[in-house]
Amino acid sequence: MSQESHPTTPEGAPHPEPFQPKIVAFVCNWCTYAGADLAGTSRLKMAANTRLIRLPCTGRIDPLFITKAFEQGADGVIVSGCHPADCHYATGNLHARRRFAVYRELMAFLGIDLRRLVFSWVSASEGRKWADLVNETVRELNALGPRNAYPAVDREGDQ
Amino acid sequence: MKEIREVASALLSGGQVDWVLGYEEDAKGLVKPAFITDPAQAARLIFDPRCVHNLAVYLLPGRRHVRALGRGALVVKACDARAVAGLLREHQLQRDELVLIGVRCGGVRQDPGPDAVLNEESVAARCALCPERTPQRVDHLVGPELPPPPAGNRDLLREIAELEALTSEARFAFWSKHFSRCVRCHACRQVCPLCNCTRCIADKSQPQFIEAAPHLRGNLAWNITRALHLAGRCVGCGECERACPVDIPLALINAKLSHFMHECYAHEASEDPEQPSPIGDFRSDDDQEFIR
Amino acid sequence: MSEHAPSSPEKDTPAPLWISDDDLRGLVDDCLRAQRQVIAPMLEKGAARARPLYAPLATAEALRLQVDDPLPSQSLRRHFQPPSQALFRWTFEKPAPTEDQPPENPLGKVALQPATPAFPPTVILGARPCDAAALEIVDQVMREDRRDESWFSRRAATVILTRGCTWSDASCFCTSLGLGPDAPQGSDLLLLPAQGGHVVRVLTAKGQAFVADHAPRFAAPLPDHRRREAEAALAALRQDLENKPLSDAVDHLRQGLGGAFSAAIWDEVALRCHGCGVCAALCPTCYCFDIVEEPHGPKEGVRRMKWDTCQDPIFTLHGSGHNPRPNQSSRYRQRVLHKFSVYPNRFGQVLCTGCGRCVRACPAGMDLAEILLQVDGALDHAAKKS
Repeated sequence: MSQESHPTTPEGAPHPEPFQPKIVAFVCNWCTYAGADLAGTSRLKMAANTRLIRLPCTGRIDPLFITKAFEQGADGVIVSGCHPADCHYATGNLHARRRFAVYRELMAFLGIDLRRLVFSWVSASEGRKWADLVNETVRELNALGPRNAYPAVDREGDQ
Repeated sequence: MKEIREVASALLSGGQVDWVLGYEEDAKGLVKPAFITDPAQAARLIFDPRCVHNLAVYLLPGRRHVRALGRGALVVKACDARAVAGLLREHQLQRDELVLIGVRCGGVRQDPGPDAVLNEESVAARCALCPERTPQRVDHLVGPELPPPPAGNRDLLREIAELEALTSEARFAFWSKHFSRCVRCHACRQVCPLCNCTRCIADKSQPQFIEAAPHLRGNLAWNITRALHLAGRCVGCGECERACPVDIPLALINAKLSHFMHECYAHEASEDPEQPSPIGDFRSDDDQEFIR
Repeated sequence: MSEHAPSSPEKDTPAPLWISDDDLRGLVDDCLRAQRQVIAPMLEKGAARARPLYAPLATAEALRLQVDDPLPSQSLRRHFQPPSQALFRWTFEKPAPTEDQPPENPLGKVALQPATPAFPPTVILGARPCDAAALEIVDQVMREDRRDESWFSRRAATVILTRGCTWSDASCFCTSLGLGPDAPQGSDLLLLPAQGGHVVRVLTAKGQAFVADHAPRFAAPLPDHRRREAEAALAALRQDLENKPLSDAVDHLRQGLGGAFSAAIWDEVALRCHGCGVCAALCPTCYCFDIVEEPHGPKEGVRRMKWDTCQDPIFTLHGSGHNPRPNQSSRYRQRVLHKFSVYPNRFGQVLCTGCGRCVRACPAGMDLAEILLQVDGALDHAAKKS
């Protein structure tokens, strides 16, 4: 998804600004990925800024993945999976929940703006919730501006 | 001190252990780890506020040359005993492989000497956070009851609070300045008893998840990962910060996460080897306010 | 011989000069105005204690002229061999398929863009003699076989003014290796502290040219009593300096006598070593590095040079999984023998200046000077070279 081709302004989606945030979304296959798919098939209006990375379960998400996303230039990261008690693997998301809490606390302590790191439970039937989440996040990141704090890979210059 | 020597000597001459690891001082008055293999050498063992080192690190399976010496006894302060408990919890050791000589502690200095005086200027900041100064679940308990350590000039919890009162930009500037200096020597990892992975993720190149070069980006990935992997497991011995050649205040990060684990999950790295794993475990009512 | 021989005195050794403290600050000012970076020992506020380091001066006022400041905890290494340095950037272009002609390079083309490190002309002001001497020692390996242009460009762009030591501690052992508080090796100008200023010894042609460039600052006549004061302080310090009897130990190691390599003593010596690499991180004569690739996706990336240390467990780990130095004993032995046997055999100088940083900073209390004596004591000197 190149930065140049920003979406038209359908109703409900944020206005296109010169800055289009790049969002990486780590989503679980069984719930959120299906939910996102439902949002698509329902023709819900959504900003096109997210790059989805599908994993079997949020329990698979090593916080290092999130760190890598910021390193590679993500302006924001969404992490989403099944609601507790609905995990396809029974307890994967329960393990993930603690891990995410600690990671988030650490990132906040180190000075990363937590508005760039969004966690959510989105089930397979919550297409609307996914669309709203994406649109809301893009709006917030539009206001925040490009990722400026975290040192990302510099594709132009040295270092 | 006399008690430690007696116990060590008895263990060695009785053949219960092949070596005793404790503390000794050199000609300059600096205290350092001492490997004693003969009862006659036990007279070298001392214990005073210069005994800052966490000797539990020498028990790690990777320390082959120590393992090769045979069955051992370890002089442990309470923090060191908690580290040993951590290793037992994670099946890095069997309890019957070693003998623990617990010594009651009144606080240690920031440095291992030559000065041995303990006062508000010299006391290690981490001692103020120590929950229990008498080592638990040891085979021998020696040393007199000591008064609590003096309140030090450096207050870790206050420093953490001061940092948290800043804007996130200011905090990031603070940590960037420190992490820019990191040279990735990994001393923080090498001296830590809880950093015991056979292959550290920082050393893996397929894929290279943590960039190896010591630029800010790579250093952030390393320090973030290490802090996370220690959350709830760190015993607050402060060796990482003491070892760091470029003075990164690592104790702040580890203390912050220990504090969080305690506040949020009532978890504290204790001397109980049966304690549940801090992040490996979960409860159904774990906080999820932050999850939309 | 493996100890450091003093550089042979120049035929016409210039007479010593004088620079007052005011003129010295003025000199810093002149350099800063001329866009010349000035690096000097600084004291930063640290978490537990003050942090001494070599850092660029922002103003002449920032120059510290105290005589009792601690030794900067890091050496000058990072100014000549940065801890992380991009070598080049690569981009990979796969040709677009065309209808008629097959592309010239069907597999694609890699373009390399060499990094152009920018470093300004620099003056290092107030370096310790042990740190400057280290640079000259490392020069030898840097020009062996393949000349390290990055190192030598920085060396060429830098003038080094050392400041004679005014104190030592129990960890210093420079005199045991033929150096001292006023060692000239690696220095262009040596400043010896005295009341109100410094006696200046001009040591090299570069130093001479620097003085000429800033002539007014060095113009004041050298007060004789100040010269005597500075030299008396040096003499007193040399008396104080721990002169550990290391020559024999160093000689034996260099000659490989007594089976230095296969001796069992290393197992005992290395017991408390954590393999943490702090010694190497702070050492003025360590120079080992690694090359790493940083791909940014499949089409581009950067190749970098970064500091490495033989104390890292994976320093010699082969791709096969075999590690010829599988334990700390062999790794610690490597460190000592590289510095005191391999390097002097190859280049005639030990790879150590006795600055004592490794001793002060080691979390496990490894004392290199004591260890050299301990190892030597355990060798069988009567045995032939193995």
